[in-house]
Amino acid sequence: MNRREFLKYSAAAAGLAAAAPLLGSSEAFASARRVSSSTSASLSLLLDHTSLEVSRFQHAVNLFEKANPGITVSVENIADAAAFYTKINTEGVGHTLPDVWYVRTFDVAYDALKGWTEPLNSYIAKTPGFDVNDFFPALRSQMAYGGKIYTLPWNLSDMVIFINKTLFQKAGVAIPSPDWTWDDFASTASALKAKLSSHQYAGDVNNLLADGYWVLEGVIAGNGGALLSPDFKQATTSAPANVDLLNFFVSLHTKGYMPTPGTYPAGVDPFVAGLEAMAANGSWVIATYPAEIAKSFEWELLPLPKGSTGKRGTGVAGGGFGVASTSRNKEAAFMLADWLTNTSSLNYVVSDYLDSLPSRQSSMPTFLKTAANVKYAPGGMANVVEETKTALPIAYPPYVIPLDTALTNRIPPIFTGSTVTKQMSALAGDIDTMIKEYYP
Amino acid sequence: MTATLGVTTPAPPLARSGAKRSGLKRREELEGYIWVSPWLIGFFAFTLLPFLASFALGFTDWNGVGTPKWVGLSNFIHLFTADPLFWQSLKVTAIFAALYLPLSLVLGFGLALLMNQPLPGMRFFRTLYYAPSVLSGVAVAVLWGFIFNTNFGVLNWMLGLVGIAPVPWLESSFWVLPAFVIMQLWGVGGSMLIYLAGIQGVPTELYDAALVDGATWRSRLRHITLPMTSPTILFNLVLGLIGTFQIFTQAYIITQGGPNYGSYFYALNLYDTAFQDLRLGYASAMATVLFLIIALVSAAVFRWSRTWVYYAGRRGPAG
Amino acid sequence: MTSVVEAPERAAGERRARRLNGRGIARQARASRRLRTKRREAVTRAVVTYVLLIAGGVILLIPFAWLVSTSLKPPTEVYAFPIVWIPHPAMWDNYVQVFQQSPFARYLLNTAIITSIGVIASLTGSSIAAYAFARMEFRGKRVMFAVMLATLMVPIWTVLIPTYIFFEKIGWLNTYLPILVPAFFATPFNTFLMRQFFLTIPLELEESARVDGASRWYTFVRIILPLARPALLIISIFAFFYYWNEFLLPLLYIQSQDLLPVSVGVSNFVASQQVNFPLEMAASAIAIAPPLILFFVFQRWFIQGIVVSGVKG
Repeated sequence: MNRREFLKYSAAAAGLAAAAPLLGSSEAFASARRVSSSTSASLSLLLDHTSLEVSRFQHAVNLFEKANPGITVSVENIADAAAFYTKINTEGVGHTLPDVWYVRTFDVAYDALKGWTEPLNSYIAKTPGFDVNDFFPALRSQMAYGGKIYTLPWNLSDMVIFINKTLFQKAGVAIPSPDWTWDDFASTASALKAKLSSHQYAGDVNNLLADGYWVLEGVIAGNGGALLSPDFKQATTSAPANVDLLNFFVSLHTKGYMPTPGTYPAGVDPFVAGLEAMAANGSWVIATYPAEIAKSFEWELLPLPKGSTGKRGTGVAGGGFGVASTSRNKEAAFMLADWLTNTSSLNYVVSDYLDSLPSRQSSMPTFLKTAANVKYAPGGMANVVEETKTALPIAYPPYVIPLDTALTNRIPPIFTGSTVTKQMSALAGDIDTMIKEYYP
Repeated sequence: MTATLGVTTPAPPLARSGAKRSGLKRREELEGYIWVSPWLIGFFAFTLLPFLASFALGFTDWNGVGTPKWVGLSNFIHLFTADPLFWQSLKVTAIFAALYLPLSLVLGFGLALLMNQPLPGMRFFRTLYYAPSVLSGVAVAVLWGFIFNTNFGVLNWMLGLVGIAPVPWLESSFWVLPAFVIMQLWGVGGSMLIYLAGIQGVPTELYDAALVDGATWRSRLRHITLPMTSPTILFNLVLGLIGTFQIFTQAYIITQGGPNYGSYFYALNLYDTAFQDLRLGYASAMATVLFLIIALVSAAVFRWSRTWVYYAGRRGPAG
Repeated sequence: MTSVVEAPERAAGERRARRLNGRGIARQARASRRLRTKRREAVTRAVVTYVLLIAGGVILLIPFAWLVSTSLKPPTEVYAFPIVWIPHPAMWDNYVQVFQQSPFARYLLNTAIITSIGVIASLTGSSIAAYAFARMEFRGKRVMFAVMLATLMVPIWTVLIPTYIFFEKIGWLNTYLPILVPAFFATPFNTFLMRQFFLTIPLELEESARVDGASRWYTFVRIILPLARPALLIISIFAFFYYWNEFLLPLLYIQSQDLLPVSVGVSNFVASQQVNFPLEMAASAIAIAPPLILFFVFQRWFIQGIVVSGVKG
């Protein structure tokens, strides 16, 4: 899986096809915060979501319009992430960005540098009851750039290890504790491999290397490494901590615990097919796996293993809503963005088990309640919450897009013939070019 | 998509009496300009202006914010001296063109020859072979991504049936370009149809005469069919060349230019630079270079074509 | 038009008839042997042709077959290897779901509007300009034509943003105008095609019309255009598929959901399928179907048009 595919998922998985009960009344939404109903404006909202999520947003928008009779909102959705970004970039250059659009946390630095997004600090200050600390700590470092907040997060994703309990039982191996380390991972995989058949895999962590910078940097940070310096102006890809961890992953492949990247084509999930005992994947699939796996096997969730620093190498990414700096109704636009990301809205969304984790800690209880009630729900959700709370505060450089392209090109060859050292120095060369571009 | 036809020499101007020549000529010129004015206006506004703007942008540094900053030739210098991806993408595109164009020509023309026969069912086959080139877009690209998958793809499955080991099509920087060639050849029906039209346009008197002289099938091909359809071949070649340099969608969706930039086509490099990084000045310089390359290669092909293309001059009625 | 298969037989037959009129039996035997060899040659050629075409056809069909087969599979069978060609059970419901989850009717209507206007536009402007290039003499004609061809060599990505800014400045955003208006003014490919075709029409027709007192315009509309029907047909079909599949321009210029055409709508649907790969394939199959179906409906005229016309060398 690469960044493009991740972008599909990070908008949160489309789950059940059945229409969900429309929870949340206008009053419940409004009670979250006092809303001024005297503004009058006509706003445009651009989404990058699945059709099911769009219908949820439309519902929230309808309630917003009812609570603010002077404001009308026109919603447009471009589900394909690549097409979405082409459109955003063109509109950015042409100064025709919509009033509110879906700004992911890894877009924040880029959009800010281009001056496309409006800093929201002053609007937040003017809104009574707005609690920035309600957002998960790791998100807080990503929603701002240079101290200014540019996006109001809506959801959050991180990486989780999925455990096939049935395979573990068959192999007679105990399921590790949530406090496990990468060494525990390797020894568990070794014990599993002895008992699994030839086309099954003990521990597949390919998604940790293929999902882009936001995952990889987190994983490496757990080991005390980093691809970039904190000010993003230097590439530190060849640091020993990085190389050691990547070589560790190569050894997992050499020992046969995981398949070569690219083995399975897009859309094919070996964990769902029951071929893997342990697999790393994004938190967004927690919502769709139950229906797909159903009764074929039992499964549960573990957080990522801890690295040599004693911390879990978990990074997060989230989607959110930003306001265009060229908007003619910034006040109203902020109100809309706020409405879509307040606790009530998030409660409404996660009440249907449709989505990834909500961005606000105050919505977690509703999320957990919903999760527990889903048919074939996995165990270990509490682990995921714990992991999310302690995720590492990693921010994204403005050149994250070409960086992801470079990672897609430079990482896979470490499994197919090249060495980690060679690829890391090639990557450093790529990054240096980007740095010269963005920080001339 | 290929276009089609050979160039024919333009019809000679009608003969006029000397005394009236300048007056008539001027009136005809005026008439010509009036007729061509809709094209001129539209071309100017919708094509030429943006083209010139893009050309001018190549001499600036502009990332979409603020106003472009003039930097002269430094984009071009950087492109040629300090940008390894530029050369890599040129190499990828050139290798692809060298593999694809001859195959497409032979295959397209060969199929057209086959389909030219008045055997029953030919219309069905023409339709069948043409159908793939009608399709486009993301869906088709995703389809190919699956077909070429090393372990689950149809192609390796078929190879396995005859005992060939699975080929790592999209994971090897060596096999990825042949994979793209195969993808493009799937749409050979488009050029096949055009070759077919060209072949069917050859006057049958020529064939009849050859048969009376006892010419073999091979000799008829070499001495009648090929020369008489050479203008068509030339144009499919040139337009195929232009198309090759603009291949983008499949590379973007399936491989993102990988592995290790092994399928990083020039147009993909251009898109990344222009739309992902928003380095519009630099991307414009890349576009200008691409345009020059295509123009130069086309001119060279045209010059070379003088040795093998035969223009029959003014032609008679159709069919 | 005689074919290259009939001619030798007829010639041989004629020769045979001539020889029978007073030549020896030996000659007759030689002649009929030659006839048989020619027949055998023809049969071999036919067999080889069919074998090759069928083999190639099967290979061509495999992607389609795989697409349809996968679209009907339950998710678990997608990963099965060796490949399962006939799904158990066949999930026809996938196709129903596609239509349930997406407002296709509106999208189709929008696409129909764009496509029909686009086709008409492509026919008008290009023919007029092409006629000028083919028949009239004016200074700079060669240069203009070369420049027009040159614009085919320009990749779209860099002209896209200047063009977008231009249309934004004249207020055409969120309309179909940026997509359709340029077509009315003649586009390089269509103009080029028509010009080549006009060049194959003999001058005598126009000359005699002129002598009879007809104006240029009358000649063009009443005499030339009807003769150019095959080429116009080709342009219609090319234009049809071009506008039907047009994705990038609507993506960038349209800002209201209900103006989006089917191309964007299908992309939205396909992108909405996260893990249900067969559903994605079902949507793709549906996306591919209209151009294919329309092609099969029109192919008779289209292919006949190309084959019979003067669209040649």
